[in-house]
Amino acid sequence: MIRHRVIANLRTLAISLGSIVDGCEWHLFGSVDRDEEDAADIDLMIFCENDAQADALRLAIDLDALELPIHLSLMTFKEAAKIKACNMQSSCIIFP
Amino acid sequence: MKNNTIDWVASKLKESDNVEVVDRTSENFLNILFKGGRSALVAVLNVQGVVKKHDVEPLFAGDLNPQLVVNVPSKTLWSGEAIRYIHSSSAAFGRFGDIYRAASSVGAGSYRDKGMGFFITAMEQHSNVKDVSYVYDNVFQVDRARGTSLTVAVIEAYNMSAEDVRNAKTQLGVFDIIVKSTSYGSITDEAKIAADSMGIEALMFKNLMGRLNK
Repeated sequence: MIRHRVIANLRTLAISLGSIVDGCEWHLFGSVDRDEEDAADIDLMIFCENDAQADALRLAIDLDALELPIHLSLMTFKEAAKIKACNMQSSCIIFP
Repeated sequence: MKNNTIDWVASKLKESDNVEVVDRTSENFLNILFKGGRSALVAVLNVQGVVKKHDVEPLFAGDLNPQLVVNVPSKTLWSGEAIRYIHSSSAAFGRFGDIYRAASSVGAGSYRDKGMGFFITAMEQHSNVKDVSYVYDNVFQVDRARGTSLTVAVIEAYNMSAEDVRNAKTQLGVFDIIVKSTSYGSITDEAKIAADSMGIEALMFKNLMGRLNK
């Protein structure tokens, strides 16, 4: 059951980053969210309040911090809404 | 290669049900058995910044050669020179996650990233393209029959955001075109504006094929 483990670890990672994550929203999608046993990476999409937060999170998140590499996508809420990113990826909010 | 990096990879692989680290060779290659019975010798590098040819040459100097060379951290780039050397040695390169992906290849040495392979083939088969060569693992120089050469950065994004463009510029430096590796999804308006401000074209795959003609 990789999904539950990864979500727990991503939440721990988010909390460990402190105030930098204030106001953002973390979404899991892809093979890990589907709990596929042969997943090769963790598809993580983070919606940010602004460009500065997105750039700061890119610097702060270690892509090799978890058991599989994190495939990280960062965008503002405004961008995400316009392209309907949640629906497109069938993503699941895991933080906050 | 640092022992603690190899230990880290071995410990991560132990968490998976799909691969087993059988042993470690005297060269410090991991002998990996994939679920299904295939096996591979994997060399682990710990290069920051850019993996260069001189980083990989020693791995192929002995009697036993690796079939797959991975680097940790994942964000490190691979130089075109290093990639060409590895491929000419009948091996493959990648990041930690590529160990899992290589499991489905007939031989780990023949493993190639499917997304990049698709792009390389498509660009090579374009009627106005003479040659495609790696600059980095996700950046290609495309020499055209008509028109100047173009440098194309391919990013693994389902949707290209402004942050993807800024991050690519920071990581990859100079390029003419940024294109998404997947044909579905979209490029945000903000990404197009960011790219435009940097003098870069942000394109979907189908638009790239048209751009190679112009």
